[in-house]
Amino acid sequence: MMSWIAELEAILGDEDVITDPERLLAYECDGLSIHKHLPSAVIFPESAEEVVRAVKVLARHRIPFLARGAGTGLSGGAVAVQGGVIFELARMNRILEIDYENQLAIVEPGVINLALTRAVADAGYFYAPDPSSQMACTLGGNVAENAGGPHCLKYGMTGHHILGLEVVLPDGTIITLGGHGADAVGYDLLGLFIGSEGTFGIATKITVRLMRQPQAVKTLLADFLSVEDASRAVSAIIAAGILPSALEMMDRATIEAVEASVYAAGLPTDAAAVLIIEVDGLEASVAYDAERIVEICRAHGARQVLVARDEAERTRLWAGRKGAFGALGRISPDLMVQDAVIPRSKLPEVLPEIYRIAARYGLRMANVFHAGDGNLHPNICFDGRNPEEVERVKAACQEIMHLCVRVGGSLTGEHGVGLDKIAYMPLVFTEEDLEAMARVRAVFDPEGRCNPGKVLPVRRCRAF
Amino acid sequence: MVTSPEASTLERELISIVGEANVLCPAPNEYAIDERRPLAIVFPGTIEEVAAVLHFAYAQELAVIPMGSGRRLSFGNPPERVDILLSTRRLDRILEYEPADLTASVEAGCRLEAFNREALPHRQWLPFDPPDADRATLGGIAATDDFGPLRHGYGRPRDYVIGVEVVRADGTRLRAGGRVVKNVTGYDLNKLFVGSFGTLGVLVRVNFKLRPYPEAEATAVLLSSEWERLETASQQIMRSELLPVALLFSNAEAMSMLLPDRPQKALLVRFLETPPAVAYQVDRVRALARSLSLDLLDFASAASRSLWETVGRLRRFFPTDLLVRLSVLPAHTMAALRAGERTLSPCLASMYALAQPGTGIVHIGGKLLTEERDGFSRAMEALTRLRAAWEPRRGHVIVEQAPLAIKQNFDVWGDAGSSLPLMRALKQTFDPKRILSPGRFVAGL
Repeated sequence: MMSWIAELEAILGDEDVITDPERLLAYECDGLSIHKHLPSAVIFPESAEEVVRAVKVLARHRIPFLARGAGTGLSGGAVAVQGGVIFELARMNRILEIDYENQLAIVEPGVINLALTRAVADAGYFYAPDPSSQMACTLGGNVAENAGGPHCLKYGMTGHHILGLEVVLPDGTIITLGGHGADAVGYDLLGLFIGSEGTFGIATKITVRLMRQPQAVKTLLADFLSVEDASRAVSAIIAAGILPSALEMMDRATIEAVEASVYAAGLPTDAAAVLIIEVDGLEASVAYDAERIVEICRAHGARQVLVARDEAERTRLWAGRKGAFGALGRISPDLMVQDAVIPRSKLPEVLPEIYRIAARYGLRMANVFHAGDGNLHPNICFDGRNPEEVERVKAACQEIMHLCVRVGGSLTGEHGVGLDKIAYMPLVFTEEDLEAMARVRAVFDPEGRCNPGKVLPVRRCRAF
Repeated sequence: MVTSPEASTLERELISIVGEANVLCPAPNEYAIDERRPLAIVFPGTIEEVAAVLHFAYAQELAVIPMGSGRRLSFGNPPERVDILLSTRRLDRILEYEPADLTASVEAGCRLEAFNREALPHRQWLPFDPPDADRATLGGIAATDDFGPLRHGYGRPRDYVIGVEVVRADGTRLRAGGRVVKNVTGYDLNKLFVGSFGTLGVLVRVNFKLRPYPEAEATAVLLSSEWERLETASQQIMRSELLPVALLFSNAEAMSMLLPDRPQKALLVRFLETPPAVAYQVDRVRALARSLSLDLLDFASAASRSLWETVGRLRRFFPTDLLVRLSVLPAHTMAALRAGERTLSPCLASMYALAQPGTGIVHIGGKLLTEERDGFSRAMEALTRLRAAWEPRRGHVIVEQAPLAIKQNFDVWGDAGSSLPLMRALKQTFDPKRILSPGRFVAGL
């Protein structure tokens, strides 16, 4: 019998099946470098048909596999924890159809998030979910993770913008989920698939909703002398009935890192925290809401509130915000980008506690996050070569998770469980809840070969 | 096969769980579903009691159909069996509502109106307007993912559910999601239960994210004798900067109920925004109407709200025994509306038609002409023709309400597509004994 590698080579060509350990190293981790596992092979399919044929080979040989986009994920979701084959989908990057009349586009999973928005911008449209990695991350990866981004506050997560998927199941069957523009009937398997972290199958075609660009956008920068004041301003804006398109916070450590980097946006380095607040919509509403936001920020102790004068200033502010992870990544050998969610009213109570946790473990922490929806990103700068420091990082993360769950929050708002948060799952779900999830997974992947070892804890021999 | 226990045993068991005052055995006639009268109706007052009822039903293999207000009991294929109708009427508490979080957690029987009455003083709301919204429970809205014209601007209930608690077929409890607005912790099982029409579990608690309630409201009504010109108006609005929360075509018969002195075809455009933005948008629509020589009426605040309330109650004003939903690509809305009118009008004595050009949803309803012997079969032929025309164009023809004689021979849902085997497997996983609303969902799940 032919080896499975030879079979894959016969389908994809020798050069599109990598097994050389040196070259496999590039795929040993994703954006969260603390989880490293080498795959057995990486393949580069160029069509859904090649994906189907390769998946069928692996089904016959009972080999585990997973799909991978740009590898920018931050939960260890795109690593081959049990070996097996990585489907690198970067070459499936065609925009297949843009249909303005129905406000949708049909794309392959390897299309880069920002590339889609760029393709439709001249016609006056955009694709709303905008994770910070949008210049690199793929829409297929966004679907797998139900990716978020600053503009989720008004526009919702990836799941709100996906109208249909073509999916290759782990046995090689190809199915359609959702109505691709019209409603589907039956259970909402589309909604279920989005955010399943690659454990249900491989999406080979994605229908996304396009949004019309708003008539007006205003971006404000408010700076505060205390993190608590900034947090209270966030709550007050939400409580006032304003729904900004984005409401982001950056603390002093983040501002300093950004201002020392190529992403420097002219942020005040002596502020304890800044809020970047964006409102969009009709000119009349934007002007109205911006005025109220300025008042609220001032009433909550903002030292000054600036309104970006033009598109260039706006772009610079956002470059600073979205470049924050990159800027932080340069000040230490490693960066732990954490992700947790809390009810937004708990911000003033939880943020100081998170700083206290970092201080207790002697760690350098920077917070840059989606304050408007309570989605925290406490980032810890550390040196992965120092095992003792790594232990302190893990212990601090664990305390942060417990803290967020205790106040009614959850483990992850947009990065996913992946490998990184499996151990915490019992904090929010009972054994019965987790077992129900395992049974749903088994409906899609009865043999447990599709991105195994992710999302759900394994107990003894039984995945539950 | 296990047979149902004697009615008296059933009654005794249910009384022991919920108390004598909360069991009706046998069920009164008005609770019949597709002409089947349940053996009993039970009104549990706590989640524990729901669990106990299910535990008992599971052991006895009795079929249970969960019910909110009963507003949508006509929706679905005829049930294979109905033994117990489980009403959430007494589970009507708001469990948590923290305005600063813009989230809330309610029991399934909590009514939409009751909740919004609590939320409006905080200038917040759940932006749902399903048919008969004044009666609707939030559990029922979630279980049927039910929507109205506000779907255009606000989306469907599925986009607002952030957590659920469900009593499973065997009486065990399951929680999914949480109380935060952004959450990817584990699989999104909320999606499995929302819109599953009570076939996978009984929703007992639902957590929602809310929306700010805008300060100002107005509705513009454009009138014409021709669909073409109203369609042009709707296309121009959708391509403009305007942000209506509802955009709805209405046929002349529906308008005769909405605005009795203007029984003409109409396009209704609703705005909910800041005061300056509402004023601006109404002006823009007025100018648009002038340029297309369309008559325009506008309604502010309370008059606008009451107009939309009437839209939601049309089923009560028209004698309705057939209600059909066409769901098509948005660009096909007008074609589907006209095809629906053309195909169904010979079967209906009075026919109202509503369509949302932004979402591709068309509703046509009315009273069947059944005096002729073949009235039902003519309606069935019409529905079959509609389905054959629209399914190949990514469309669906869903029968939301019809007499049993039609439902017995016509699957109300239509083709569920290539993922049906997965749906069957999920049903098997969550309801292996088929006791939850058996037969009612797609492909008789």
